[in-house]
Amino acid sequence: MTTDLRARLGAPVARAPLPVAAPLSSLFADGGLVRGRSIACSGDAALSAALALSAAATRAGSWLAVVGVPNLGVSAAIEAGVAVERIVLAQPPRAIRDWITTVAALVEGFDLLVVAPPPSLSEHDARRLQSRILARQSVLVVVGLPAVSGPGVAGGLSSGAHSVFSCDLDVRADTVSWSGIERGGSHITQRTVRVRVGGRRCASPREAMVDLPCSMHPPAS
Amino acid sequence: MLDAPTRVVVVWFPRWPSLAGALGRGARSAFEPVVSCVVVHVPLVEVTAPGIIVFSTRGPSRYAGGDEKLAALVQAAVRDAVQAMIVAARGTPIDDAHAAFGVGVADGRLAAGIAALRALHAGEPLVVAPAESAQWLAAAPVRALAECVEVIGAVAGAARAAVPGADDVASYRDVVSLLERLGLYRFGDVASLSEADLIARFGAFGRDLSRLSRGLDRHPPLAVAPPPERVCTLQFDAPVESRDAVVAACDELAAGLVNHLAADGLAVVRLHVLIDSDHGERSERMWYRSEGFTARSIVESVRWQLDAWITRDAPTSGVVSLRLSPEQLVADAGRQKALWGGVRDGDRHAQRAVRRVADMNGAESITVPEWRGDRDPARSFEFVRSDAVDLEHRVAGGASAAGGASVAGGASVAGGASNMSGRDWRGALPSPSPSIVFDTAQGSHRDAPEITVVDSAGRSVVVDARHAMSGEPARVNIGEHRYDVVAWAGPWPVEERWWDPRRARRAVRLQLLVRRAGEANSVGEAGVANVASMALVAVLERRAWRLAAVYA
Repeated sequence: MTTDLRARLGAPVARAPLPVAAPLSSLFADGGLVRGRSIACSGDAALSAALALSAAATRAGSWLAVVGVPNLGVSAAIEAGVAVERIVLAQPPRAIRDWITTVAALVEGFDLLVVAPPPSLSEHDARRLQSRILARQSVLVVVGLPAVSGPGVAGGLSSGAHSVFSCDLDVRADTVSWSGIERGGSHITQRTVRVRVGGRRCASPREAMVDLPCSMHPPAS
Repeated sequence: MLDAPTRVVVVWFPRWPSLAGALGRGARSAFEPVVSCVVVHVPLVEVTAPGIIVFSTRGPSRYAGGDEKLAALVQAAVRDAVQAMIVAARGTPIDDAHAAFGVGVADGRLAAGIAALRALHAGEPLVVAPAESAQWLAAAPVRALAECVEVIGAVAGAARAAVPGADDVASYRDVVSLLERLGLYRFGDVASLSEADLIARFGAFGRDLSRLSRGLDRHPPLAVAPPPERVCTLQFDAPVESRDAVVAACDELAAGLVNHLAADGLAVVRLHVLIDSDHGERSERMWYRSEGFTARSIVESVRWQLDAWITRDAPTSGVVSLRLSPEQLVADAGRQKALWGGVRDGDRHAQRAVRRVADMNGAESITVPEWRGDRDPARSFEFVRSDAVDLEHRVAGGASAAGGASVAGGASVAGGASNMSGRDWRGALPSPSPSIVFDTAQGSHRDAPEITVVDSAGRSVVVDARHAMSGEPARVNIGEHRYDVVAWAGPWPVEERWWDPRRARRAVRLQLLVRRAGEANSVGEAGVANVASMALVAVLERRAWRLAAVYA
């Protein structure tokens, strides 16, 4: 309660970790997303998990930049609980140097960045970006999107590129079951995802079964 | 000074963003042809928002030979301009309801706004005679207050403070609902109450309410001595060719003007911007902000005006002078910063970063989502250029800017099946929504990848006139990837505008749960991003399957 109050008042305690909402918060030993760290989201539910992780922070007043996801489903973000008035979508240029400058400029102003990196990003560039994140005390969420490369997508969706980042935390989100859908009937009503949090900043890996989108967000006051 | 309302003409497209979206253009740039066709008849207009033009009848009316003639002239010009745009964008399905507009003439912005809404489907302007304007307004329902929020301007801080967290439209609705519960159904009922009573009940907003109901302008004329001339002019030594350079120079000028006025406790609500080129070309426009201009919003208006001028008139030389003249000043009541949810450092930092990136890569590379409404998941939100929205206002107003969607966010998840509470679209995808969406409409720039959906015999799955599939879907091919179908839902028909053969859209949606062929449960190379199971939405239209959405 008091931390919430202080964060809302913009007091200098703002360096507290960014909040994460209920079912996912138990996975984070620090009670939230520690500022200055980078998190790799993988698995088939990577983007949904990244949105779910960002939701509580945007509701608490942090801005979220979604970088390099041109086809983001905004309805999904809203269902995840993200405050839509604080989402900004950026499509940086394809040239890697411009890409870095753009993302670096965004790091200056945004607490949270959900980034789908281009495949040509080098480890060196990734490290530079991470040191920028550390200096600015933002949180970087690197997402791997499913490889659905078709003629129309032209590299818009790539996977595996996030491996150039050596992230502090690895979040792996795999769908365990889809409920509702059958062979020809009903429709998807719920998705159960196994979320595993591990990585070098995590003493002991934790795991939880979560329904996405998680129905834990009370309407913002 | 005489406290009488200004007689104005309001030209209003209530569903402009949808129309602009259907035309495949930004709300602002698409509106420019309409503005320029009005400017032919009326030199000085105020563009309140994309889709709304307001101008004073004084002058233009005498020129045209009366209010009726002026309104008819404008109506015809606007209708032709819109028709031309629709013809130019042929092939794009346009809903007639989106292109509907009204022209209203009355005393005061509120009355004229109501008149414009009433004229919406009439096809001809509604002119309320000057003598009858007050009576006419008195008979209008107070509900119009919420409908006309865009014309009369956002709700005063006090009313918003009374309804915490509410956006402009919602707090007007609350006020309207309260008035109705008090038995005040018409503006006449409200006007019969004393201003003091309304102020006692509603605070500063009570004064606005009283003035609006009596048919007056929301801002009373200044009772203080007329302020000294505060026209700010910027002269460039050499003609400036670059738009960004002019905007940058204007930044300082605007800040100077706002600070200068603030020192006297004043704010500008109506601003006249005049830009001259070296060859004597000129662009002038009136701007209105009911809550008063900030330096930022002045710059934004100038940028808009420059854009319009450059694209429409293509001035042949650089800009030599820029003049900002405040036309209407009000005593600055100050903006009450909310204890909760006011503008914070974080907001300012983010906005600065957005502006920097927009300067680097162009404003279209950095966008914000705005609710538009459609059953197609890729079209329910529009990605609006960041320089076309006031990010600060968006956050302060909360959900209103984002179309009430964030309010829906909280409620929707609890509600389950439907998202976007109160803004449900029949035939939209049920919750949970896909996190990656492709625009499947023809001729779209966010083109959906073509895929194939085949049955167990390898034949493409087709759907007949009764929406029965030719076979059970067994495999899906996306690019060079092969997937086995585990389960599916549908087919769900999407039939739009079937009554119009030219614009009809007939498609079928299928929700598919697929698994990569041949690697049922194995782990992919190096253990990265192995797609075990994946849910997606495919759309069949004109005998071709396309990928519409992925639940990533």
